[in-house]
Amino acid sequence: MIFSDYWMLWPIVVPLAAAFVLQVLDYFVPERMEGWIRISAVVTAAAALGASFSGWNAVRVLHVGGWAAELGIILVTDRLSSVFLLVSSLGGAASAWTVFFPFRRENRRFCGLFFILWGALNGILVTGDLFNMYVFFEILAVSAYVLAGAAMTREGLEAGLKYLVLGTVGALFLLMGTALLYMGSGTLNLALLSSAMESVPRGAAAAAAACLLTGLGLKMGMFPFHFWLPDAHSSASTGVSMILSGVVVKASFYALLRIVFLLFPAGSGFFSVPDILLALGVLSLAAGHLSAQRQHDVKRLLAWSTVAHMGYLLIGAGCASPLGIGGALLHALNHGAAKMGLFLGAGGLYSLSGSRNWRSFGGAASRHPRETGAMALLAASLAGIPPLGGFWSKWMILLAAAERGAWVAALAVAAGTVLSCLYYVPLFFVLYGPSRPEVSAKKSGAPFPGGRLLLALGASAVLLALLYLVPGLREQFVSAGTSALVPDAYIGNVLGRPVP
Amino acid sequence: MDRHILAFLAVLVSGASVLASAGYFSSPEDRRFYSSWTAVFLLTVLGCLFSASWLGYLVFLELSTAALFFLTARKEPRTAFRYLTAQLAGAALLLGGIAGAGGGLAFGPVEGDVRLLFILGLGVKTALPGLHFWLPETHGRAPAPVSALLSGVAVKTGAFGILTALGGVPSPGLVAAGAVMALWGVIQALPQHDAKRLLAYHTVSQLGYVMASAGAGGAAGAVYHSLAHGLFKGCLFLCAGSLEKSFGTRDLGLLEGRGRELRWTRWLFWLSAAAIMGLPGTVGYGSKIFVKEPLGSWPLAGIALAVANGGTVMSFCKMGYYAFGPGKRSAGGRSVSESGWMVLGMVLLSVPVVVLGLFPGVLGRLLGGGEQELFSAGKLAESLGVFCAGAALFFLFRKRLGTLGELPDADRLTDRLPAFFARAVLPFRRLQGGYLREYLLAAVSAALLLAVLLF
Repeated sequence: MIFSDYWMLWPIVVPLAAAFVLQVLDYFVPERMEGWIRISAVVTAAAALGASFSGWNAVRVLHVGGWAAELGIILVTDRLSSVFLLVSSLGGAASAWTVFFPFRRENRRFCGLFFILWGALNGILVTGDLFNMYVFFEILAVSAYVLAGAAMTREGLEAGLKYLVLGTVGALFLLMGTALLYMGSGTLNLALLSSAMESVPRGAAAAAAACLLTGLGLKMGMFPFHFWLPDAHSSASTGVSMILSGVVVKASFYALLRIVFLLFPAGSGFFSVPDILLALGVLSLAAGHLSAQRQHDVKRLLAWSTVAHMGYLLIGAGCASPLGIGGALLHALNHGAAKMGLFLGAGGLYSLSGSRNWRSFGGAASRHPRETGAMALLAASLAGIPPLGGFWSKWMILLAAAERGAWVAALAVAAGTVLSCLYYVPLFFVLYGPSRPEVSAKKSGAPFPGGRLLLALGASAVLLALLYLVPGLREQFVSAGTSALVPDAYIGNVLGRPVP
Repeated sequence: MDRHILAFLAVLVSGASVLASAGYFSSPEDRRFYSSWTAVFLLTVLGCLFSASWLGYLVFLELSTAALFFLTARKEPRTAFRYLTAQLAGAALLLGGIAGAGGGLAFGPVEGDVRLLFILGLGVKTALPGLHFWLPETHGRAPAPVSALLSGVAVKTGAFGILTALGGVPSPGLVAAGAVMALWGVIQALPQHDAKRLLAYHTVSQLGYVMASAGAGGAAGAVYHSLAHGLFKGCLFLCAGSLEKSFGTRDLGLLEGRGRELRWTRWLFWLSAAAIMGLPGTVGYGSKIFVKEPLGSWPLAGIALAVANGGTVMSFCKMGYYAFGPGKRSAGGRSVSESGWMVLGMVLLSVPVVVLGLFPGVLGRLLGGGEQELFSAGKLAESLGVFCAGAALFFLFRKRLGTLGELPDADRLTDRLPAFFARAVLPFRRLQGGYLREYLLAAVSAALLLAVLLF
């Protein structure tokens, strides 16, 4: 109807253009930046949303510059990209609002980097070319490294440096994998590569798979490539933590899904890539949930929780079934919303009490009951308490693992609920407990920074449950899973579409 | 029909709990909190009982756990946390079982190996041997109106789940488990000083009766006894709460008979105690008969239950003697007031105890139990005989009972779990050493390993 192939271009072009324009404007008219940043964020979010809807019912292909698929770069949107573009749109908007508005006005000097990050993120989600994906990953990574370390504390700079080194090593592995595949097949286009995988020698394919998994694992926070994540996500400022944990790791997961199911669906070796994903998912889950216990720093606790939830996504992907991948997609939505809300709440509590140690947050519930209640709902959703959204996505993943016979993975997913409660409940006991007298005298009456957004995200914990419970909506996610698992429509549309 | 009877129980016990909360808690915020969350709890239990699928049952079961968690956490956060962890572990097992059986399973009998996961998961809720570690602490420490909900309703939803999963197929393992529970609960209850912990161990024991009957294939007996136990145990917990409210303690050693002055509490206590002892005229008499009926093929279990019955008599004679029996009077002849609201709650539960006790056959027919002569001479003699034996044993050994200590129970093991868990977590914490070189080494070696595995 009104959608066309060009809609997927705007989520990349608008934020990149905005980044440069805003940086220049910031030099000349810094006092008017708020309005411009707001407009840019809204337009980018709308563009991503539009691209998301355009790709839902039909696979859209855009040949950039009019070059054919063999020679040029193409952009492709299908159902799988649509889900992640939705995450990017809403998550990016929420983060933009948080980075630039409630917290520090000085953050506006990072407006350029933020929009570059957002644009590169969208680029990863719509590109159909492997090397182009690597380029967008690099752009994303550079802006992420700087934004993560932008807090300018010693801890933040160290975290940013570790993120930079490990992320660059990851990019190196991505490049090696791409190079191996190019040498074997002669093409960089994902759809063409998918058909040409037989011409890649077996050893090279295995090495390429290992390199790509390592590279994407380093970007995503998969065990054993996750060591940078707790440092970087906890040292970053609130809005940056939100976009890193809520959206950026999901983009890397999207890339993983695309690459694995287009290029390495079933292995000829003893293990196949989905099996490896299952195993690494279980390890990530264990590492994340167990390391989050007894963390004093609330943001570090949340960052470890992100590692664990990446584990859930990997288990869902590793089941290699529409139900499993659909469950992982729904979980990506749930976790994105919930983790962003929790980071927002943690940031608010930090600015109100001056410390990141959650043992000092006593009495927050009596001063800010609605915001604390929203945080409790989000934490319960992440822990997997029914009937909130997180329970249903975990249920889909659990069912897919059981169907596949992966008992260890199923047990891990089921046990995750208990393990999560072990670290969330003490936190909320403190929040709902008594406050220290000197704190309550000082802080009473101060509004909760970012409170309204937090309440909106808290409502999402309930609304996202509807995505499973309303008949028909659940099947949409499963169909998105099918489109990932069985990429015939993707390949057919790319190859069969004539060059304009 | 089973569901409706258990729903009736849930409504009665919740109503009694709300009435008792009005008296037990002094501040209006507390009363509002407890009344509203009890209402939420009731709704979740009804959702549990009337669900059409196992997944729906589990969702409502977890919600009822959450409601009880909030109810307990307001006064006893640590106990509530341990309760939540135990119940979530059970729910995780049950969830795994439902996933293993296909996910969309209708709420009915479960076949095959996966049934074990169902029994284990529900067994945490129903306090099967080994899985009961949380019950004495939780039911004993929670505020009395909440304990009434816990012992009266919450464990019954689990028992109902086990009954449904079995689907009438006898399970000798469950009969044995029930017999063990019945005996163990009484053995642990006898030395108790804390009135509510004593009642909590009796819940374990009476659940043993329910499980033995369910395992023998007798759903009628299991549901009858669930209803009976919910009624009289709820009332007993409210009696303990009334003692606590009026005297500030529920320790039998400290009370020394002062409860005598709470006249309503005393009479309703003896009525409920008669019910748990299985004396005719109370609902406990009929329920014990229906429980024993299918146990004909398991004579050992029948003997175990009879011994447990004797022990129960002893234990309640002890509780009644030390709480309401001869002893000291209050200093200065002050009269102590009884909370009227709590008494109202106890009356609400005691009326059905008597009514159903006088007409036990009505309920039996509703549940589909066999037609039998309920007030036959043999059965009456058996009931009164056990009572006399138990009472005699109590008076003979009264002084020795006071010196007994409780035997180590499963919670000694589970109390060590947090420390064990903290040590299990350490390797993961050590991995995050902070050295970039180590991280790079891990990444590169993992990449090599992946290349080898994928070849």
